[in-house]
Amino acid sequence: MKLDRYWLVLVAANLVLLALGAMVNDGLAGWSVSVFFIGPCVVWPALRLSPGWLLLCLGISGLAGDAALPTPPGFLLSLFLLGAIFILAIRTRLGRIRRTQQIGLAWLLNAAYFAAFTGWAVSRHPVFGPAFFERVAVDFGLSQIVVLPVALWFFDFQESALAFAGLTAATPRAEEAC
Amino acid sequence: MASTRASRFRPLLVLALFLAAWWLAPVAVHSFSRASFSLFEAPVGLAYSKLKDLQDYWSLRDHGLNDLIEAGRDATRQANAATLQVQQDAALRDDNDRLAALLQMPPEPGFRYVFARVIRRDETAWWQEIVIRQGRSAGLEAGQGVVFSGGVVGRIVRVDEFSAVVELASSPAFRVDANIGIDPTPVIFQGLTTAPFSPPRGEVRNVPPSLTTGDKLRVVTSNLGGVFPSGLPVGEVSRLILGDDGLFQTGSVNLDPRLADLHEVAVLVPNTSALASALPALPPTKSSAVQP
Repeated sequence: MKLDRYWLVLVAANLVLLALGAMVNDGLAGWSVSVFFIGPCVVWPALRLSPGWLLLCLGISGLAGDAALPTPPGFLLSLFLLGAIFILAIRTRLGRIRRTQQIGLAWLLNAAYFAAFTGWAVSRHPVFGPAFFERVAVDFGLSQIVVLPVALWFFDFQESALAFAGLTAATPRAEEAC
Repeated sequence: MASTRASRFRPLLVLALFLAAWWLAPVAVHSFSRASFSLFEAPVGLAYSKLKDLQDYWSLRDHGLNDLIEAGRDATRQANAATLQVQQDAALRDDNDRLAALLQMPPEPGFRYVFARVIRRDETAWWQEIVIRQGRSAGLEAGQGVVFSGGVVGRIVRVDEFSAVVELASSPAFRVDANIGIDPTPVIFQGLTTAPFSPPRGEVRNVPPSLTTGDKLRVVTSNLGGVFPSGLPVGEVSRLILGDDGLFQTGSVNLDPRLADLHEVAVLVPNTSALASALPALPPTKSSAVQP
């Protein structure tokens, strides 16, 4: 397995997205709503990187995200890896990956991650007021709307970052890279 | 054919094995990874907070001289009013101490305030937290209470060297012993998830049936837990419902709306730890210096 610089650029891009999410939610705190858009973090690495580099990329991104969250250590890491396993399992059926498919995958993963965080919160505090489910519904709706333009921007941002680092966006697939 | 199929599943197997290894790893590994990544992320949060301060500074510089004069005049008036209030408070405190001594009551734990800017607010449906710009280096520890001019903010849940995470009073994980006004019966206050586009709320339990919302009922802290001094405002009771047992009421509490938009808070550090950290290390005594 050759040294692959792609993972470094993709980790940096993921950290930018996580920081952006924190900044947006800081601004939204006064309105009692929040948005959640971490679905796009997994798509590009899972589609393009070989398993070793994919593990490194998502491992560092997941643990960095975990450090800032009240969830158990490794929660986000596990979600990222499960998302990658899902994409790896269906990758051969996707054929040539189009941008719309990438966005669709990001949207789907974001919904799954939102559900996982909600499940964790419910298991942590079984006593909730009626406002909890109202808030979850509004946050979920907003997040799933917001993740579409964010994913579109983020995939362009990743390609620009790769180009800036002197790498081409058309990397070999994992099977070829191994 | 079989080897092709096996190689297709190899990436899945690698990730699944890593996942299993992570969750089977000792707690020390988890803690170490969290602490390490927190150390790397801390400067980013601090830099972001300082940049926000700089942004505020430049926006304030745009104000004219007249605005500055008016602000200075208002600040002087407020300082004068505060000075009078402090004198009144001192007289009341002396009175209180005298009565407590007469009744031979145990002394209340004292606190010192550590002021901190808010780095980041993270108020989702799942948790309500803020990150503040003071940490272990300022004597902060997990479990200490946090307040602001409107009353209780919450409690510290995690501390790093230069930052700390505060669980807000509106979080369902926040519970504290409280009183309703001057009624001595202890009640329990617990945060509730804030509804979208609404001010923060909480819930109060074990309220005696003698109390009704006709009176303006304020929830204040009790010193039973030792985290907060008694009498700090938590919120105002808006509704009370008699429980199924018919013995106690449960109420809805409106918290200060500014809780969702905090910029600066104060951490209550118990005076015992403050005293210990303030004391210089004692030189070794003659007896301890003697070698056997």
